[in-house]
Amino acid sequence: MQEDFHYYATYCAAYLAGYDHAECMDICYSAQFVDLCSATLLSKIKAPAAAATTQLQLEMMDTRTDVIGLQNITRIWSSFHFLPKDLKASHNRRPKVYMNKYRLICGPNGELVKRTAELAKGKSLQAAGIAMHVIADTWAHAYFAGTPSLVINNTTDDFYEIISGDEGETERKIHFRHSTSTPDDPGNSIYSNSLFQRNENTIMNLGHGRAGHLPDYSFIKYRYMPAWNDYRIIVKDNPSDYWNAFCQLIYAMKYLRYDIGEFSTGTYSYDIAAPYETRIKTILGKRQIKASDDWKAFGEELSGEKIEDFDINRYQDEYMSTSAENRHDTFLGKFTDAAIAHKSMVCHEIYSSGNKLTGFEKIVHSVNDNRNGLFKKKHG
Amino acid sequence: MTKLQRVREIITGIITVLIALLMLLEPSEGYTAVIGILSLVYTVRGISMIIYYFTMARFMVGGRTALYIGIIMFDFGILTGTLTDVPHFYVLLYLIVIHAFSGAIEMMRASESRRYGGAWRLKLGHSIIDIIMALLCIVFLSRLSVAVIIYAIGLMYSSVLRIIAACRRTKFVYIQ
Amino acid sequence: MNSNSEVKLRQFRDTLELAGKGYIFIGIWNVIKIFMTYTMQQSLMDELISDLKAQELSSKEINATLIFAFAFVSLFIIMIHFYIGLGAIKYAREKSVKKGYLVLSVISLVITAGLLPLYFLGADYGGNGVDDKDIASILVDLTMIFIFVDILYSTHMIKKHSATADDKEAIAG
Repeated sequence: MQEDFHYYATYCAAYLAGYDHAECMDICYSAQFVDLCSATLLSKIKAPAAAATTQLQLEMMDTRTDVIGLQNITRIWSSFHFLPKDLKASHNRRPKVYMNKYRLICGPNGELVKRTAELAKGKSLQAAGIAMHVIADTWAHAYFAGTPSLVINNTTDDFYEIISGDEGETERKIHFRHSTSTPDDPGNSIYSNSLFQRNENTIMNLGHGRAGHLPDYSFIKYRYMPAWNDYRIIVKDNPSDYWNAFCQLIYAMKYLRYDIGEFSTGTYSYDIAAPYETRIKTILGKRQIKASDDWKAFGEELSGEKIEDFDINRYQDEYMSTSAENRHDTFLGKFTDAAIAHKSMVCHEIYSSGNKLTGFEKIVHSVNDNRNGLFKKKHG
Repeated sequence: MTKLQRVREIITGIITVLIALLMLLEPSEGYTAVIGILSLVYTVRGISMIIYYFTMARFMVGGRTALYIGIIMFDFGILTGTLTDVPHFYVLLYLIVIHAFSGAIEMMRASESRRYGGAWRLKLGHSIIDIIMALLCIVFLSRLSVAVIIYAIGLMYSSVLRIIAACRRTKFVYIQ
Repeated sequence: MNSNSEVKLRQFRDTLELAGKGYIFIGIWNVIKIFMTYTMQQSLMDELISDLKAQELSSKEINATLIFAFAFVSLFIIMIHFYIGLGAIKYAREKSVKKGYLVLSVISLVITAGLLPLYFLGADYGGNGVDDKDIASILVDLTMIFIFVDILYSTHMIKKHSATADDKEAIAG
């Protein structure tokens, strides 16, 4: 997903869940910051590199894709952008080396979504924001894995947009070009994607590169054939998925606010969003690359407050000018603590399932964990 | 870079320097070494690709291609190893093409790095030197001995840089 | 969209197309291999030339003969491979219903499989036994046999599942 959903839509969901404007700002800022908190930025502000929640293009270009490099890539991307749906998935007569990657396929309503919400409960608003980013991305990035893998993340070239009209649904072939500088053209179904690369572990085979930005556009419904699905076609209905994501965010945040006792996957706060359903679905269905303006307008109407535009530098001075022992109480300090805890949890779960693609989880940091003992185990 | 990656880079750099020295001092032995390494690399790559097909790619849509590529690569590797009288001209031409190609790739990476605001001057410098070396070798191809000297110097230069890069301090600070 | 016959149809069409492409690539590689073997192994080339010299041909005639022989053999190999390969690809893409490539596939399969045991002939039968180069060649030949079987089986399954899909359409209609 993009800034329009991670920042503005998350603000709206937070407000509907019952947070006030200031709390909504903290949550949505943290949700969006997950897409920007790279090792380069952390190095600049002298924060722990272990808290990286993303990797810049530049960092990935220079990343080696040997075993250690791959583990580092997988730790970040599987934890924050492609949360695995089923770490115990099974498939007939496939070797472990294949199943390790297959089991990292992202999808909504997996066990890890529940763990993510539970981990964030009773923690900071920054932890809530990170959890909302992760949960939202399980909808958008479903069917791809947060590890470089040709056999999982590759697709055929046949993508078709499914367009609803007065006379039902029609299909239009999507044309891909490999140019990051030219913007996508939804009007003519021309989009950018990454080039086919035969190397299993190349960065180009990380995540949804082969589908370009299609998973991040809320308006598009399309069908395609992924490499892993035994020649079965997948229909990705983004308007419907994004609506579910929005309602699940409201539900998750009500859980974080202790309005709901136990978090259940597959549950959505449709009732709370119902009065705004038409408005929200109109935003989601509008053919535009970024829906930030529409979400922002909706959010400001909801709260009656102005939503400041996202500024990556907003909290950096606070962090850098604070002494090391007090940094945990700053905005970015709380963010980095929460990021490390979330990454630890996900990597620990992956490792515990017998999958070493995220390496051996060594506990670096734990933050007020309400599930005693979870982070005290050491694996080396 | 991690310690393991550094060690691997240093070892690769040292081996490459030795091969370059061998090419300078004993050209025929040097050529044989190159053919031998080429054969080994492609044979191993072919086998890896075949293993990759049976463990991973056969479950992927269109994965059969990996098998065909692996078989051809393996065959190429074995065949290269049995060639007893490869004209030095062909060997040198192959090496030059590889060098020029990697120089071109490095230039593209430097350009991309510059676009994203990263360090690019050093990368660009390396790529230009790589390409100049390759061009000089082509110019002097008819005088094989000169071309070999140019190529060997170029190889030593790249290897030394590789070793230096491996010994550089890590960029990021890890705070625990 | 994902009914059993539709999924199988996609699978076998893709397999047939890949088999066709694979066969073409192997054909091109075989031609390159012949070129490499004779130009980069001086002993083999010397043997050929001495055989031709024994027939009292001039240097020009020897060169012409060698070039012509190489061109003829290469063309023959390329034609067979492309005929079968392109035939399979066109059938897979539903651009042709001709199955001539199947006949040639069967013939090629029989010949390739029939010649395989020759690799293992010992010195008693005039062979040299199996060396490294032969291992690779055996692997290539086995792959070609695999491709032929793939072509035959996939074509059969496409026909079968197309019929099933047509029947279902007729019933639905």
